[in-house]
Amino acid sequence: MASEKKVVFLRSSDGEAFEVSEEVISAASVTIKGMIDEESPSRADTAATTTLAIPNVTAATLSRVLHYVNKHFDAAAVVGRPDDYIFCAPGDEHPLARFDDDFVDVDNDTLIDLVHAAEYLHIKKLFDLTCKAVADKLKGRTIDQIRETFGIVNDYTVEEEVEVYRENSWAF
Amino acid sequence: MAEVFGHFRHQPMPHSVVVGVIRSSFRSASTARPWTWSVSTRNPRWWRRAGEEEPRCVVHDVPDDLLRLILLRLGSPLWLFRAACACKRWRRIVDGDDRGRAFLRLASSLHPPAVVGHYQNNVGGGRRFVPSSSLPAPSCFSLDFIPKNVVTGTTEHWQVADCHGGLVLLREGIGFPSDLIICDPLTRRYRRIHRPPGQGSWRSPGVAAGYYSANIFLIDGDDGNISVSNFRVLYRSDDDDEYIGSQLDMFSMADGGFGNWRVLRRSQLDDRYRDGFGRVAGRIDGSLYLGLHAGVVTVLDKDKLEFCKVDLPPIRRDDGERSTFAVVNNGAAAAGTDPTTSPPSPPPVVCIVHVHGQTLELFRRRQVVHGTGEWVLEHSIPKLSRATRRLPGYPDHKRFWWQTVEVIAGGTGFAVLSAWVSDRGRSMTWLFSFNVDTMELQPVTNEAAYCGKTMASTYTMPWPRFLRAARRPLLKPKSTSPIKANPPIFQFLEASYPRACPT
Repeated sequence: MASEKKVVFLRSSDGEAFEVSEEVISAASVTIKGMIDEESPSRADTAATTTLAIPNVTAATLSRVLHYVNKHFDAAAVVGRPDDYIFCAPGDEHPLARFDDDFVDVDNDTLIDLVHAAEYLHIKKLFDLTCKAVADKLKGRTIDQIRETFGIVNDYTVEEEVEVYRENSWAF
Repeated sequence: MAEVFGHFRHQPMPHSVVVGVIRSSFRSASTARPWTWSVSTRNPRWWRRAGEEEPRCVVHDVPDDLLRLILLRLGSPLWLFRAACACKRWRRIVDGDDRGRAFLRLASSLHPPAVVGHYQNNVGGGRRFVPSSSLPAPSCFSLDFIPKNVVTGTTEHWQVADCHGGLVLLREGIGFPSDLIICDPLTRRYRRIHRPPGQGSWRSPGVAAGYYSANIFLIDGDDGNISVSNFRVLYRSDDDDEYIGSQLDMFSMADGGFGNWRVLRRSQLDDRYRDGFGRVAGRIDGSLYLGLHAGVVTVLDKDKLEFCKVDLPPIRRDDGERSTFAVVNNGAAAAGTDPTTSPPSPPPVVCIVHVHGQTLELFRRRQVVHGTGEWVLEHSIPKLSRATRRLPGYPDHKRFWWQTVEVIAGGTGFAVLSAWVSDRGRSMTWLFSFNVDTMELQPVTNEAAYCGKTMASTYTMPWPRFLRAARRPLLKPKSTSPIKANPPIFQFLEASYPRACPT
């Protein structure tokens, strides 16, 4: 049992290592799948576990990403464990919809770190989810609120602002 | 090409210790940038003196192409506009190299249009605007800024001919050659267009005596964009007088020009169109589809600028029953949220929803390898009265047969149908929708977004125009007072969204 379930270790940028099933992470991340495939010829003889360096994802972000990956890509976990804390309302179209909502309900910095990590690790579902979540934070806000939320400094001159306003006063 | 990003920080936070970043992209291999090491000091925010408060947000670290994908997910023109106004960099991302044309085209293909309201012409003259939200419509939508009639002091004699791209096209009347006004309610601008040359005035003798009808359509300008100074108008007139017959004129105007009329086609009166051109059944990719009550769909050929019949499989016809159509894109492509997936999602398929009497038919264009494709009947619901009984919200415990069922609107992935019955002097209208992907009927809950059974021109929120405004030579502003919010329009437009689906 143990022999057929291979694991890999992912080392975050600040040196922390995380254990994850090779099968699950290969299904999720194209980048890591590529790394594992590169490593595999040398691994075949030694049968030692591999440690892959993930140079630009921090431990905090990586643990979140792996949490997501385990929920979404580990078929055994999804099917075999009905719900430990995922509550599936009758109207939910996807059993993990509630999990996804909670997952992206974090502050902006964490969310943008997740976007970066998802892009780097090439996890399309997570990338879609996090991009959508960032866009949702922009929706329904005024320009000043957007600047405040994302810490943007207004670099328009007054003249430019007045010009834009005159052409598009309806949108302000 | 290599996008440079990154930052220096005096007080690095745990997650920002990496200066060189290895990135890959989700896009296809041809556009992916492999393994770019990049360092930049572009953003002045990072040039702060030590000891100053460090801004927390890392949105500045997001590279341009990633931010572009995020901004593409904003569904409403209003939201996109505000995001782009936040700072110059965000605006440049939307702007691109082509004043945002590519960006806006992609964004508008991914999101359904935001319906602000409907214009209806009153039978006795005049018009009204029915907002799709419950908020009262701002005064600009009643078109109070167009010139008033000298005698009556009102603008009631102008009737709505067409709405498209945030513009409203007005005509003076139905039964005679008419001047036109094109106006933009949001910016309160208008432009008067003289009727096509050679068309007499209704006041001149002889013209009003015979049969005359004109169908007037507003289409995008030559470059695919539309604004009050860049548009085209098709004016198709049928006149009993022998010397005119049937005529198709086009008025085109491009930025900076004055605009001019040109005769596209002149022919004998065509009986097929004698009862008018029907209504606009859909605008897909710049093509204009018209559904005729006689059961024919015509499409405006973009290149030849000619209306031609769509070859549908033979439609069963009962005399006395009218046909109504909606031409929509299927929703499968829009549902995929990532616009740059690899492999790319299949292009949207054009569908025609046809209702004739109690029968609903869905036609889909099947792509042929070479050629334009043929239309096939994909689904049919024979008895709509029976099929709607099981729907939640069915209006009455009693079972009855709808007297008329018509398609009244279409959107990405769905068509909205209106059923009408008159029972003991009480008439009732009920709306439901048809999903072209799942072939299911659903009740419509936001009935206010549609205008019942009546003919109406749908006014959708335009995509932003700031791109055009910015590239003009900067005029000296009249005042440099701080920008004041414009609450009525702002709140009204905000409430008009989202209309992602009819329910």
